Parts: sequence; C-alpha cells; structure tokens
Amino acid sequence: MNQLERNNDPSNRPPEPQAAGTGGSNLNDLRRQAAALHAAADAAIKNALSANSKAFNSSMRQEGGQ
Amino acid sequence: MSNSISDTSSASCKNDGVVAPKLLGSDVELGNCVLGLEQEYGTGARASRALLREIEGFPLPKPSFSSSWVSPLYQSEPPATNPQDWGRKYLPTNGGCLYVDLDHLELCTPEVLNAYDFAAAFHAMLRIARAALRTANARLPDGVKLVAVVNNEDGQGHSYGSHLNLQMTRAGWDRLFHRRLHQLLMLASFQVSSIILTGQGKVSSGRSREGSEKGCYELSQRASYFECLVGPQTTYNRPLVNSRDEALCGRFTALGCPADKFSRLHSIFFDSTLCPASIVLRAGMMQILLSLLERNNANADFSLMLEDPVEAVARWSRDATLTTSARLLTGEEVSAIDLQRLFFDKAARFVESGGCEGAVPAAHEILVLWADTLDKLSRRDFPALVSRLDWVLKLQLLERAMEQAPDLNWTSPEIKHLDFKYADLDEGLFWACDQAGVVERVGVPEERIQQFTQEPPENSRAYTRAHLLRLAGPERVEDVDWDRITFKLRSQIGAETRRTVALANPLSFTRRDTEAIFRCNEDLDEVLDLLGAPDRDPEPVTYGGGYWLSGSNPAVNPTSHLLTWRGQSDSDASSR
Repeated sequence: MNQLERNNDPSNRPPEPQAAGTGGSNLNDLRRQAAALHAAADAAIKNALSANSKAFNSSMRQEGGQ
Repeated sequence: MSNSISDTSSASCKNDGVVAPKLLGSDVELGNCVLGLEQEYGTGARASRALLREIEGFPLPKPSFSSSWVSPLYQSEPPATNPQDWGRKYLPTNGGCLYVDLDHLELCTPEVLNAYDFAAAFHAMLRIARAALRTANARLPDGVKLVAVVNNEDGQGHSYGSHLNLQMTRAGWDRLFHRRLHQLLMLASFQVSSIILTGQGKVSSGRSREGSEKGCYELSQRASYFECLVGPQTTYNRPLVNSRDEALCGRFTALGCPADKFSRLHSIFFDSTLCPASIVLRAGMMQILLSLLERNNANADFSLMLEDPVEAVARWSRDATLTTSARLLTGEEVSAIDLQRLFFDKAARFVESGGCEGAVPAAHEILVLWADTLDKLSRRDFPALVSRLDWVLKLQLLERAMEQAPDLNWTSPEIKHLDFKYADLDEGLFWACDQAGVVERVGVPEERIQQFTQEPPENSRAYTRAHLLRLAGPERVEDVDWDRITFKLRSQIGAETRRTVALANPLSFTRRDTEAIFRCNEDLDEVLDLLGAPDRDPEPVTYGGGYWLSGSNPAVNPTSHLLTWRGQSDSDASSR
C-alpha cells in the first residue's frame, strides 16, 4: 500500500464528520452549557477552597523538567 | 512491510520539496508529588517511581528495581541511571511507553497519523496513568496520597514539557535549521500566536522585579519559560523551536542510516491541553504548517514573521482580552488573532491546492475547526469556546470561584490550587466538566479513547511493536526502543541467543503489513524470521565513543551484514 492509499484508508479519517460550531452559539445551548458547567464545577471548587491550599501548592514543587 | 522509507514519501512530491507523512507522537511530563510526605527537594522522585511501578510494560525492571511494596515511597534510590530516561516500559496494549524523566512520570503516545487519533491516544495514555495512580493510592496508608497533574509548571519556577513530535524529511529539517532561517522564524511566529488556541491557561504569580506580587491569568503555561529562538536544549534557556535531532528511525550503520531520509521535529513549545478540540488543533495545525514549510512553499514573507517572538509570547500570554499587539518584520503591529488569521489563510490555500495530500489526513476537517475557532475568538465569543479551549474553560472556572468567594484574587493560594485542580489526573475540574457534557469531543469519541487504552494504532509500527510484545511476553523481551526490539531466546540446545528486529520505518509494520504474520504464527522465532530479523545478534563491542555492532565498524568491514541486522532486504538497501 502506498502512502496515498494509507492516508485514504478509513482508519486515517476522523471517526465522525466535523461540523463547525458544534459547541453551539445559540442562547439556549449556551445557557444549558453554563448550567452544566456550574453544576460540575461548584462541588470541586468548594472542595478545593476548603482544603489547605498553601500546603497543596507547596507540595507541587518539582525539581526541573524538560 | 519495509524498512525503506523511499516508498513513504513518493506520493507527496510536489513543487520542489518532498513532504513526509506527518506522523505524530508526544512525550508528556506530568507534575507529580506525594501529599503527606516532606522532602527537601520535593517528592517528585518518589511519586513518579511509585506511579511507574504500577504500569505493566516491557522490558521488565532490572533486579535492582525493588518489587517490594512495603514502603515504596521510602525505599532507597536504585543505582544511578540516566535521570532523563529511567525505568522505561513499552506497553503491550497500545505500543506507547512510560518512564521517569527528571522525576516526572512521562507518557509517550504510540505513533499515529491523524490529529484526531492523536487526541484519542493522548487521553488514552492519561487513563492508563490514572489507573496506575488509583492503584498506587489504594496501597498507601492514610494521610499519604499521590497526586498527578497534567500541566506544565509547578508555580515555583519549574516547568516540564508536553512535547509534540512530527515526522519530517531530512531535507526539510536541514532547510529549516541550517539553510532557510526565514522558515525558522515563521515556525516560531506561528507557535507563539497559536497560544490563543493551544494554551491550557494558568495563574501566574506575576512577581515583579521589585518583588511585589501582581498576579494575573496567562493563556500559556509555558510562555514565560522561553528565553531564545532556537536550540537543542530543553531544561534551561528553553528555545521556542527545539533543534534536537533524534529521528528514532534506525541506528547509524556502515552504509548509512534511515534517518538520512527521515527526521523528527521535537517541539517543546506547547502546553498539555485537555480539550480534544485544542489537542486536535495543536497537532493538526502543526502538521499542516510543517508540510507547508517542508514543501518549500513558504517564501520569506515578512508579514508572517515576528520581530521578536520570545517577547511576543510573553506579552500575548498575559492578555486574555486578546488585544495586545506585537510587531512584525514589516513594522506592522498585529494581535495574536491577526497573525493566526494570516497563517490560516496561507494554510488554507496550501491545503486547497493539494499540498497536504499524502501527508496530513483530515486536513480539511482541521481547517474547518481552525477557522471556526478563530471566528469565535475574533468575536470574543468566549461562552462558545468554553467547550473547546482549555484556557477559556479554566478562566471561566476560576472566575466562578472568585464570584463565590469575593475575597479571592489572582494572588490567592486558593486560586492557584484550583489552577492545579483543573488538570488533576484523578479528580480534576476538567474531567468533571467533561462528564457533565460541557466539553466538545469534535471527532474524538469515547470509543476511540477506550480503544487506544487497549489496542495500538493500526497504521504505524506501533501495531507490530505491541503485538510482538504480547507474543513474546515479559521474560523474553530484552530491550525495546521506538525503532527496534531485542528478544532473549533459547535455541534448541538450550543456548541463550538474542534476536533484534528493526522497526526503522515508522509507517511500515502496520496492521495491513503484519496482521497475517501474527495470525498464522504463534512461535516468536518464526515471526521474527518473517519480519526479517537475523538468526542471532552479533556480539556487541565498544568502538570509540559510540556503540557499534561487531562487524559494523566501517573501518573493519565496510560491507558488513548490518543491513540484514537492520531487517532490511537487499532491495531495500539498494533503494538507498
């Protein structure tokens, strides 16, 4: 199989067609999305804000890296 | 299958440049630590090793690597090895690998060809690491907990990378780094302006030179760590464009090297974004831009070159309103959106003219996503981008926290803590949003991610790597690298031998190439015969400062059997 064939192979295509703006800019979609975001985030935010943030941040210290 | 690379790029020959298929890989360092354990220089060393221990991969750890789980975080260090490549394990599941690099657990995705698969493979590797994290934590006593964060800086002056690797031709590499410096400046300028699409976002202490704190939100985790335009280094004085030259497609031999034709761009610029759309853009845009450069289709266009990309990325990163401008070589001042639009227009013309054929799968789909995202950024339609861009999503979450606790600001430890929690591998805010359906999957479905946790990509050598590891099992795998595997075998008379199979060509050894071999043979020796491995490896000898195989020293035997050792046929050899 040459390279062109490889790239035309179905396994090389995105699994589903792309559509621009699938996030949806209409108002109802955005409201629904915002509500879902807040529901998902609020508990995690509350947990983080009740923890010892200074200790957590300090523990995240890394030595070097690429 | 073939170890020759000549057949892989012939379909891509247009204009005066040949384009290599833009195979994608990555090596991604995690931030890792142990809560509840105090150590002077941090706990990354203990954390990364404890995580790696839970990963099943080959070759097996050497005997010095203790298998005891009595107190893994307190054991003494194993004998000194390469601190940037410790305990590397390749996965029989998907053909990727993990190891410890400077005390970070590092995840390497298996080689894939399209940007959507890259995003799926990236998330699959994160899931493998998460499973290890949970298993390790289940073994630990109360009060001690491993944490892994998919980010790129620790908030204390240390950065770690999310490196994106793309296959290039050797000729394209040489033009980029040695002959046509305008290409280098274009690439740097492209990367710098792309942070509006590829940044994870972070809370920056914004410490002034006088020492006063003036925190702010930055688009990019990495921006403030770049100090120069180009260089091979990755741990200090970091360059926007990394010139590390590691092709990973075959060792040097007496009669040349596959890397004579292939090269690999090792980009250290990007953040570890988690939104699938941002990952697709990061990989896909780079595939298209590199193809454009490689095709030698980019004249010295000053309107695509920043006067000072290092300065520009620092400024753009600190402006979430996207209005700050930087100067082009033409003298014009442009915003990051402006410059991205210029690059997009050029890329779109290139793709429409067929420039990416044979090199970038799904190039049109990538363009559609790129254009739509730029349109939304131009309109400052951030609510529509929450689902698509990490820096927008994280900013939304942090602003939500500050609404709920008005005494918090950008210098508050709680806000920095939430910055880390966004990408916490176990219980991060990103995954909470993903599970709530907030995050766009843009062609990266759950099934594909799941598949890559268990199976290799089918259109690269990762397929054969994974299946060879499965067939051999842990006891017979002696050594693995991206482009070869060495096995320990017993002959019929009980003697131990070693056989090495070369996987030099990243685009060969695909499912189509080798599936029948694995289906029809259960004997490793027979499979290795069919894959072109020689009967046994020659004894290794040391020659000069480098590693040579017996008989491969050109001063001794310039027509050695190395090509056979490489698993190449005579016809492959003659094609070079």
